[in-house]
Amino acid sequence: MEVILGNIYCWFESLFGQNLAEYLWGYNCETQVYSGKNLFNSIGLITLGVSLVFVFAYYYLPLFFFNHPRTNRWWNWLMLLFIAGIVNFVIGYAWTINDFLNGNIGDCLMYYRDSDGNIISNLIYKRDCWLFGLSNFFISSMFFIFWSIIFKWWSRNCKHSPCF
Amino acid sequence: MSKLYVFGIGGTGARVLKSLTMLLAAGVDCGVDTIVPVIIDRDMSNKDLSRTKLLIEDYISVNRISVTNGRNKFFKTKFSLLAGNLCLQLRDNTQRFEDFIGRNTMTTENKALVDMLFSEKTLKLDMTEGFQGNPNIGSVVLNQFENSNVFEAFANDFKQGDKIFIVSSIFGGTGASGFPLLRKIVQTPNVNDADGRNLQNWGLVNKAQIGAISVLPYFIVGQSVEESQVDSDTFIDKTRAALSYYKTEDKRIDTMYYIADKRTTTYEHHRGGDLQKNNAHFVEMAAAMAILDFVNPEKLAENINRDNEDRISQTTYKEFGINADKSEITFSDLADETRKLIVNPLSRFLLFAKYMGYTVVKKDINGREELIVEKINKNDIFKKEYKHQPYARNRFSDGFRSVDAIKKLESIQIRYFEWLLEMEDQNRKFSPFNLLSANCMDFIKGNMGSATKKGFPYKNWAIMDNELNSLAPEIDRALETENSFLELFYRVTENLINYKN
Repeated sequence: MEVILGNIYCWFESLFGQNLAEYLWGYNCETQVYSGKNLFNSIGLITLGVSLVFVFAYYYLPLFFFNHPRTNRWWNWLMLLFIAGIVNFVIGYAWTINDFLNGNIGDCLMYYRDSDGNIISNLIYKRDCWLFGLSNFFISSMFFIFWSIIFKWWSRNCKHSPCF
Repeated sequence: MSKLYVFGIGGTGARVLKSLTMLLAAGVDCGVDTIVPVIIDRDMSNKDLSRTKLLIEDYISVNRISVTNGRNKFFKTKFSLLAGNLCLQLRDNTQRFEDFIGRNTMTTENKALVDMLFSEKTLKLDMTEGFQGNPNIGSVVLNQFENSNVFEAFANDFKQGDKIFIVSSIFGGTGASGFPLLRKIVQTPNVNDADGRNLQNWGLVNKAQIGAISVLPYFIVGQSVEESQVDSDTFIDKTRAALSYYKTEDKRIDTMYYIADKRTTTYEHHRGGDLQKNNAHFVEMAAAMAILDFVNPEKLAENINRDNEDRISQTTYKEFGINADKSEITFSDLADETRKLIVNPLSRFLLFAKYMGYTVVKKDINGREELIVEKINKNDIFKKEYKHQPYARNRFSDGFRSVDAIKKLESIQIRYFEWLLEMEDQNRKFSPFNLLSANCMDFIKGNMGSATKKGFPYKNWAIMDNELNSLAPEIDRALETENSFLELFYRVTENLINYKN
């Protein structure tokens, strides 16, 4: 269970890079083992939760435009999937950029240095944080679809949204 | 499984039957399972009669899908026709009155007597368009009830416990003369058919509980453009004369209802035929409610007073009244008992019709702004939503509205709107609804707010769709699609409109 979420994130590893992935797996540069916190699990659980909240609201919350006879079209569902994705995109980006800027990511993962310790090149860029956010968007969408399939059937007004 | 035979005599009889059909379509409670409507009119081509005939035929088609073993009351009461006919088949089709009485073959003395009793105009009257307000002719012509096959189907169909109700106007020709004659014949023992044989079950007919309503003047007619003998100035005199004769009906009728309206509307004057098409009137609806009052099981002790030998010991007389003499009647102006009877059914059926897209719109016709009933696509919530809402998914397909019973249901919904609209177009308007409203919840006038459910957080027609989606799973899946459609919409409208006195 502990590695399931990380494995899912790693489907998108080519987007945000191996070094950021190693950091998120909890790699410790000093001990050279994965002794840190598995951030894939933390971010993944939040993503899973956010998607679940949006799905629940869409299918069951009798407020505003949720569980509403006029918002049970597939595009309404898609819109909510997109909104949940954006929220999770921000969470993924904010989490990683925060660690990036605060120096929480180990030096061995951040830079490629020569034998004198000079930085030859960066291994993680700010762009990778954006791309991790994007990956989180896709994973959020997958979770949204997953939760929808499970929970839609008991909805009063939206049980056939987005289809079937 | 008792039946009520409702005899509607003349134009008013047909219009009251139309109102009764509308009330029953809307699901007003009726104390019998089956209504057998019978219209007696010489003027078979009058538009009032043909409109009623068509309505009843369509009602019968829709009634077939009303059996749901659930809560549905729309079209619940069965209508059944005697030998497939709505109109009593009078055996004689003679056109002129003088031919009917055989004046030309009479002796000179008899001819002189006839000429003294009837004016030349009356003798030459073309009776294919009714008796033109001449009850003296009607009482002669309708005497053919005896010794004929006219009542054969009626007698064969009649069962123990069935009841009879007679609807007639008192100020015209056919109704005023037909009512006492019909009452007399149904209480005459051993009536024979044309071959001289006793009619079956006639003993049951003789003993049947019998009610009647006599409709006193509630409209007048304008100047005739055709040669007609109907004259509004004589309505009151005719009524007075007939009422004094009707005194003899005491203890021959279980319950006798009277209704009239002094605030009369003037109708266009036509002799009859296709042009005789009077707008529906509140008085006709109230008269139809008298029929329902007569068969109300809770009023049995009040309506039926019989001795040990099942003879009428006392006739109950009833009149209909409203709370105040207003020119525009809304539900608030009706007595509690009437409100209890009609507010919910009429409002629920209207809500159903509105959901299907029917509404009243203002249209410019020949330079005049008129109100007409139309199906507006943008108001057709069913059409817009059935593909999206869970209640309709896998139930109501694309061709659902082409099914005969549904087409007829919708056709009745249009006529229901027209009926309400016509009742607004009178000097005394019955206007309980805002018919122009396209909204789901603000169409009942007056202080009836508590009748409608507040649908927070949804608005307008989403309230109804939400209820439909909510109640759809409760509908028996084994029901035919059309039956489940009626059951579902009845339950939903019942949930949304639930007026309690």
